[in-house]
Amino acid sequence: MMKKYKRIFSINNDLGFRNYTVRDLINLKGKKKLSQVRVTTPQEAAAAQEAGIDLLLTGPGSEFPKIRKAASKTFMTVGIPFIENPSKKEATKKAFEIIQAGADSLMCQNWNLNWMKHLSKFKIPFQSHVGFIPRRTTWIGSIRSFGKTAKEASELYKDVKDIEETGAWGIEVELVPQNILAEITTRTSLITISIGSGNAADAQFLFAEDILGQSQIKFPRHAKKYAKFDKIMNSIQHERFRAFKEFKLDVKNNKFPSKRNLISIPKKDLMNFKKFLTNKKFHD
Amino acid sequence: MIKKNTKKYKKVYSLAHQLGYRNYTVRDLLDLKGKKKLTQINVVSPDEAEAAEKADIDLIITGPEKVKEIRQAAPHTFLTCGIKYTQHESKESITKKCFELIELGVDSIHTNSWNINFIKYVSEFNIPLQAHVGFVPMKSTWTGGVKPVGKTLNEAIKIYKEIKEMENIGCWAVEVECIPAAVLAEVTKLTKMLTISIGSGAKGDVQFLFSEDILGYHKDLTETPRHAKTYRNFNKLYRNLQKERISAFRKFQSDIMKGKFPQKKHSVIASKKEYYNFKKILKDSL
Repeated sequence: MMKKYKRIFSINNDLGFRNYTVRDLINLKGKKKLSQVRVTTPQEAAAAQEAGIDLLLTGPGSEFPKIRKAASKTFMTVGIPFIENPSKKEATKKAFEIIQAGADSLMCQNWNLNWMKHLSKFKIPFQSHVGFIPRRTTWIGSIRSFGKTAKEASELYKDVKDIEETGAWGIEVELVPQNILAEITTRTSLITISIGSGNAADAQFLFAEDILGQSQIKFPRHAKKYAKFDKIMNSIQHERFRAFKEFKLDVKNNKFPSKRNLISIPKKDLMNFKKFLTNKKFHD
Repeated sequence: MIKKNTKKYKKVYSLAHQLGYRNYTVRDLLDLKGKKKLTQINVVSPDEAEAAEKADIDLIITGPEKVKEIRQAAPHTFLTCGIKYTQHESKESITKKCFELIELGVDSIHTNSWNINFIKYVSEFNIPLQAHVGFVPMKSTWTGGVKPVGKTLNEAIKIYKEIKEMENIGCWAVEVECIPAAVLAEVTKLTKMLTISIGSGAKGDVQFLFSEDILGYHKDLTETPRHAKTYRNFNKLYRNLQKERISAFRKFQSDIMKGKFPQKKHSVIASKKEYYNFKKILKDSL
């Protein structure tokens, strides 16, 4: 453990171990391909850490403390939704809350640029998001790649530079042409984190549900399935059903409860109890 | 939209006046006393609730945390929801919580460890209540810890009196936990309520178990309690599942290190012309 992880202070001043600090990540730019996985359960987080995934991303929900605990040594970024935190002050407050719960970095997706600049003044590490941004679909007309024309690519480049200026350390780049991101990656100090944007990025990002093959939506083209959890989960659900059915049948056929499940009472106490009940009935 | 399932389920109004289908009403359950052995399972996830409904488990019970999702997963099964007394300091507060849960579609409330006056108050609203006697975990310091209750004459009489008290308040059922089977056999005959046995023998009107015991997984890794029967080894199943997760993430990690992911089919490319123009813009901007 001591070899793989380094001693650090978290932003919340907790002494612990981590695979990377922000400084390490910045120093690895251009030297090592990193991986990032979005997890939604403590099980996924623990498995990702065990597998040596470099970076984890998750949401700020009630599961976060459990997820942090399950993968306590992996650099973990947590998304802060702007819609639920509709001011600079509220977003910063939520950011502090999440940092107290052990986050190493925040994901400022769709944030007002000025909020990010504000957060940066606290030296809080954060990443942001460019390219195809699901919540901004309406601005580009549909769910599609972004940056296929020189004009859009220039817009994208400007977005990246704007975010670089806020003080971010990383940037998720979603559905951008591979050759465009290749050029941008060499021209920004940000760690570029590709999802569907090719192999030239500094990090590759996928959702755990896609890797495991249990996506709720149609499987996205940019992702790769490494397991068949949809089938596995179905068979587990079938086992649940069969176990409950067997319990039901046992009750019906008087096979449950059996002697070993029962609690006894001394004969004398039982006799006296029955006597009490008989007398009681007269009084009722 | 209500799916018709006239064979198995009957049309009902829920306590919140929602039209729907259920396996039982409270009236049906009371009429079945002494005629049919029923089953109840404590579920904590929508998956468990769905499996229970498919397996024709008669009654399910859960806590307030995921009641909405659980109701959706098992819309036709008589659902009871427990409320922890420590989260409600007044009868008004606990009544408000009952109303909230009723709006989410529960059919009955479990009054585990409540102040008896709170139970009486909520019962005034004709909300179907399931009470709890015998070994009650949250009250077990009064009965000497994790052990059966009712093994002496005095304890048995006390249980009888408590059950009668719940009956007089108007509860439709009472969970009876870890008391001698012979005591429950006698008491079941003397109450109008349905007795729901967990560890209290075969003579209860209902047999109740926890999903985690039936499926064989335990958060604290303690052994299956003596009163329960385990039908599967989900601990082992979940361990294997975790191995599968690790192996999938490991393959992803190794693919990235070896440059095997992403491939062309996972990516988009800008045309040569647009790419060239973009490079020119970059150059000019310097």
